[in-house]
Amino acid sequence: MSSKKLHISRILTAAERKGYNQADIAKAIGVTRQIVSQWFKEEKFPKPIHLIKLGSILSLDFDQMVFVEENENDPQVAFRKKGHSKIYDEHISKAKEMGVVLELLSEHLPFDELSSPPVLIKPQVDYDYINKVADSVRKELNKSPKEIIDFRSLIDFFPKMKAVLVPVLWGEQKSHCNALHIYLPKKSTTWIYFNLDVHIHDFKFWMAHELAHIKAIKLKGDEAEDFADQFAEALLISQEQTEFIYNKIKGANFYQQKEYILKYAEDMVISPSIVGCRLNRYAEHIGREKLKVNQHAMASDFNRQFNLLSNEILSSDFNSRTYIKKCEELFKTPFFVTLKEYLLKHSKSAPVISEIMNVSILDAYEIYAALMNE
Amino acid sequence: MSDQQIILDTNAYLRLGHSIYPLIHKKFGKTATYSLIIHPFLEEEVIKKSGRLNSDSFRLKFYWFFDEKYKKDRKLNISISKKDFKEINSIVKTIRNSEEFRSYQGVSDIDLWCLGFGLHFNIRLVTDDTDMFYLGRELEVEMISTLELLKLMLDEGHISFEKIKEIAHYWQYLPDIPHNFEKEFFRLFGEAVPKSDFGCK
Repeated sequence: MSSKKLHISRILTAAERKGYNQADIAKAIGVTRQIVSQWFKEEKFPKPIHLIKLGSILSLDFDQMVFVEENENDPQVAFRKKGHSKIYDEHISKAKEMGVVLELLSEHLPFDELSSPPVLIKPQVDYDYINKVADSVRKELNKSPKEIIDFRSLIDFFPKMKAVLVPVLWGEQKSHCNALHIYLPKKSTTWIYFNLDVHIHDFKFWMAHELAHIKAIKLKGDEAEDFADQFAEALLISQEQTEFIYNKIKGANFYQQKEYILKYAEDMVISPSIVGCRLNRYAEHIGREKLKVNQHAMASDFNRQFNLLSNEILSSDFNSRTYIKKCEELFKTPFFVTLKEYLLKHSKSAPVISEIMNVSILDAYEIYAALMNE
Repeated sequence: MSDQQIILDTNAYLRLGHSIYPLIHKKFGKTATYSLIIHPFLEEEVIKKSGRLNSDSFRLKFYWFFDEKYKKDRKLNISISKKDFKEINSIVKTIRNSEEFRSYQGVSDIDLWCLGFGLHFNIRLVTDDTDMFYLGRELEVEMISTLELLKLMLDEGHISFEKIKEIAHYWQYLPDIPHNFEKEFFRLFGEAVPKSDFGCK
């Protein structure tokens, strides 16, 4: 739990302005003067009902009265933003609250409670280091440097890292993010919400990116994001593949480079922007010329040719039952079974599903009906 | 804001809205004047945020919700000033940051807002969600269940016991029954829950 402190000086100033002393405050709130004294000496923190009354009599809101410090055991969240969408404080607070509920669901997970997943000792944003990590993960996936990383191999890796995949349908337009990562330090588990309404060629990158966050849990903020981006590129396109492709296209003209990148993107089932970024990063690392094309500009035209992931894996007349069944088959996720056990144990119903999965109440009712009628 | 207003959470409204019409803002009572209100997010929660899943579980179960007659009933809801909204949001933030909130998982944003509303205006809140119920009690909000509300309505002459039995049948038919339904029904009305003909428990 985050630690909280009162803004004592602000509260005392407000009290003075209203002409209140501690005895007046105590009487107005319905507590003893001694309790109020203990609050102001930071020996005790007011109960919520008393804090609310204090705010009411002093005309102060929560943020004016309380300073909240983050605790290292609080859920840690990270968003995979969609385009230029913004992540606001309310999104972060909401995600952290989801994390608090997930701590209860964690009790029902089929994971080993006694051990933690293997994470990197000293993760760093360095080209050679990241390639080493990517190679090591490739070996764990039983993939040679020449092979394409397939969906199945990536997905199967997550349970080994005590990560729960939560496939959600957040829509293509309405959501501000493609994925949400919630790490629970108290439970050493990670919950990865990923929006199925994404372009199919972005999916492997997001999965590899999330994997990077789990492996490099010690990194935070921009450093963590840089590491995750570079790791995802390095995993999906090995160093050997990168050198091969770069050497093949370095001398080509603009149109030829564009054709090559599109071809490799389609073969590997990844976005051309990933291919381009990886090649440019390699070029920079060896001090050579970058590509002539703008790989990001190619991506939206490229994506238009293909389905969203949701349309690929779910039929057009899918319902909540087929959605859950498909997710369990394809992603081997324990999420829905765990959710059902939690709902039954705590006598919860549809609205809590809306909170846990951040879906509409209508979808929450559908999911609840599907889980309970099995 | 008049005394004796009682706010319903989403589930409470869904449990009662079809059987008792009009439900919202209709004054009733012998010993006092009561009226029921709902939180202002209900339409947005249910109608505007349409789902991605194609099934109709909600629409089949609560088909009446989308009927013009019931939409009109809900339109008679309260309006809240910006100042009150701001103060309720501050209360919600206080609750959200409390140890008590951490003890009661699964209390939604809207539930929290209803608790904040109840605290701010010092009015009763109707819910069958046990976490919300006990959290509300800890926060000194007067909490009652849907069955307790029905008892109040019965005692105040607003509905008959036949109506209550009809509602009990309906809940079993859906099925959508509150926690400890049989025990609570007996406690409040001194009779066993009337069993439905639908063969549902």
